[in-house]
Amino acid sequence: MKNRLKVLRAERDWTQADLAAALEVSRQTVNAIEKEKFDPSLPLAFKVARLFGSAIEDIFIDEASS
Amino acid sequence: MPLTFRSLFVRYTFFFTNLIDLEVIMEAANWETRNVRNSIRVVCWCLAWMVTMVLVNKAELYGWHSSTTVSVAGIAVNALIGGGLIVVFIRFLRELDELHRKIQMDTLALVLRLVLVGGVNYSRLETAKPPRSRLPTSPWSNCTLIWPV
Repeated sequence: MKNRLKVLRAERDWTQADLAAALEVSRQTVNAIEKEKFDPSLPLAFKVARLFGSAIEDIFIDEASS
Repeated sequence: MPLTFRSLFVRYTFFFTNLIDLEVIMEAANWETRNVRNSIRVVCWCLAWMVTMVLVNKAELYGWHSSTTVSVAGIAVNALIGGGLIVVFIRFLRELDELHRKIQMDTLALVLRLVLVGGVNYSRLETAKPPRSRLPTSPWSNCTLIWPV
């Protein structure tokens, strides 16, 4: 699944470690999500959306619908 | 710098951002500490389970005691520690980060399959009791690897 995590993180000048700490996951998880190797669970996706103040569909893009 | 709304905003935003950062760092530290603590717990319970299992087996094998009650008590202690190990491992899995949990679950599924296939093959070899000279010689064959053991 494509996502805008890296862009949103860069806009706020956060490191992967900062984002990982805010989401209470490991840095490896953030890296895997950014590189589209791992799709986050729904609770984690909601957490990401809450953190960036956006809707889930604005951050995670379903490739099937695009 | 005059105390304008902007300067106050910048000053307090900086103050609160730092506080939030500190909170985030504390939470992350707690989360990582919890993970490390859970891992250590799993290792300790696993070691305890292995030690009690070896002690019970060796005690019976070398006849360190002649009492059936002691044997049963040893097995019960080993089973209790085994139960504790399962509980601790479930807790460890639950508190893991979701990527690491997925990796652990995938690995456990693979290991379960390998143990099942290996175990069934071994038990079939035990039943068949083929002469060793007739065993396949390929180094990749599990028969070659398991049977001499």
